[in-house]
Amino acid sequence: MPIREILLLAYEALMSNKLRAGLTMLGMIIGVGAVVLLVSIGNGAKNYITSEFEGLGSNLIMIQPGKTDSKGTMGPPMGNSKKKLSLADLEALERQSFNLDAITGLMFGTAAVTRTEATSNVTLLGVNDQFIKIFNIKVGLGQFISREEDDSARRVAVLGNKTALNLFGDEAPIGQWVKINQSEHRVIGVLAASGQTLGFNMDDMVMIPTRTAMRLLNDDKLFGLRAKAKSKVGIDDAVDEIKAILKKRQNGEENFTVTTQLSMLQSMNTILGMLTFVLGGIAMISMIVGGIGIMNIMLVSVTERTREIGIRRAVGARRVDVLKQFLFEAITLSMIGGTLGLGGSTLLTYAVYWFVPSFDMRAPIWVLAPAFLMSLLTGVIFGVFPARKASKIETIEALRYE
Amino acid sequence: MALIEVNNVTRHFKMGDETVRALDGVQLSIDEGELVAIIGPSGCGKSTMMNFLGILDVPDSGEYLLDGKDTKKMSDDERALYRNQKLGFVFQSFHLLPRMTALRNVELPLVYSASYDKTHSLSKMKEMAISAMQRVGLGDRLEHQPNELSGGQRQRVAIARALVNNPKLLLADEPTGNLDSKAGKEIIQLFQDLNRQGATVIMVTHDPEIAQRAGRVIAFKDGKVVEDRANS
Repeated sequence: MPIREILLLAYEALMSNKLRAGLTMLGMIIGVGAVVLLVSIGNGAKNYITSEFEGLGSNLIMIQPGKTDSKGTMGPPMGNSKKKLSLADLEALERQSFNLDAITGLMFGTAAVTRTEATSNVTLLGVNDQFIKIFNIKVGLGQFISREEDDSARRVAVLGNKTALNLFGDEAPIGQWVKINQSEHRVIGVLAASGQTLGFNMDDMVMIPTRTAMRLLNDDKLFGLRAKAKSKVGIDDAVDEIKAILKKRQNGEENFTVTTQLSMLQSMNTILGMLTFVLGGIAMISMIVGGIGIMNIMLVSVTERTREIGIRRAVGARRVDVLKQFLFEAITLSMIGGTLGLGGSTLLTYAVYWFVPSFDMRAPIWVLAPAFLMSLLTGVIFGVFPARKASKIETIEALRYE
Repeated sequence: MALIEVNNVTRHFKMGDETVRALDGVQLSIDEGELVAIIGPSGCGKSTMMNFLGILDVPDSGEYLLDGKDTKKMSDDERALYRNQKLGFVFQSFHLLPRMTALRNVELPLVYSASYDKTHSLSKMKEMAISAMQRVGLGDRLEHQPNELSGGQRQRVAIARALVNNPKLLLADEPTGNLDSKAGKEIIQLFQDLNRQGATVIMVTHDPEIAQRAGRVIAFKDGKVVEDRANS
């Protein structure tokens, strides 16, 4: 049976019952559309996170005390190691490393910041002058903590934009005094508004020099270290160098974990990639439902056309010819539906991108071919059973069928 | 050698507890070029016999040789091939495909011949179908749908479909049963003409007048051949 004839038959069968064919296709349109849309949303989220990470500071290296078993995931469990990093470690890295552009010790806690009656409970960071360089932070008013202020543990504070607004309102905060956990600090700067980055709000916090923070929190060890490599390509060298320097200081033991922003990004991408596939998998359920719709309609069609099958068999159609005819009809339904769903959902993702450029959920190219193939496969899988049923009908009975 | 050799064929159907002997030891031999009428009352086994001759069904016992080939030993695909190439069916209720033009209906067997004969081009298929339509006198009704044709014309389209592949044997199961007497006479005339041109024709009929016009009449009763005579 020539392929032209098979296609013509499929076309005629669909055209002879347009509404039914259209509704059946709708199942596939929604199924394929859902797969493309959900995968695009997952992919868009991945793109979004990537750009957020990059905004956090490029070439970022995080050094935390304690050793994790697996290499470079999300860092060790925070602050539960016996062997902690000290200011001496920080100084050693500052002196000996060639690949680092900047490095700071980091103290971390929460603090009640009070001015007369206004109180703000915010995140407290103890950092040195390099911090803003490492995290690409801009100072809005006044200045950031200086080297000298850190070295001599001055009681100065830099406020996040929102914290400053909460405490001072319209007043100028520079030079004013605030109480941080009952200890008086002079405000020397306010950060420029930066908004939320990965759930970490730079606007709602207070920063004081590392050494001041160690006294305030009564801790002689650092929470961790943050550094910036001189270049993106040099980031692995920087990591090796940090490891070598710190290991030497700790008698050859590696009681710390070095994580780069890059490896964090990679593990984040792995998670989001998984999420994308899970979403796509869930969407495939609707594709299966669409396939069942096709099977249902094909079974009806086979019954309705029993007599046609008998006539065809009587004039010389083999079973395989009948099978092909009905299988191709199912495939045509699923492919047209799939193509429409693919096109529609792709256009939709581009439309969303047009209106919300910050969230790039344009359908990735790599999803199109598999989605198309899946619609083909759905047609084959759900078309085979009705087509086999059609091919097994006995000719004599089919000719008598009214 | 005879075109059709039927040796001691039986076919039983189970209807509830009862076994119906639709065919009970039928012995037949039909030569090429004959025009045979099969007559008999309803339920005498005529239609079952036609299903056999058209290899749509196989006997429980006995053998049927079509053109020297034992139909019982054929595979399902081989039977399809034989139906396509050596046989032409004409049914009482025409059995044309609706929503298809007369020409496409006539082309139908050729579509399946293309599986066996790769030289079948589209233009050759169309040419053969048109020539078959002309042979039944419907050269000017090619693009009509079946529901736009009269009963007699529909049956002519069905005959054109049956003979488009130039089969050796035409099988007609009460071809005039759904037609008025005038159209019926024309159809019988057409079969006679085709027979004169060399086709072997076997037709089932109720009408003694039609049977009279066949060269040979075979009468069935209770699944047996009770009379087999040549018309003078």
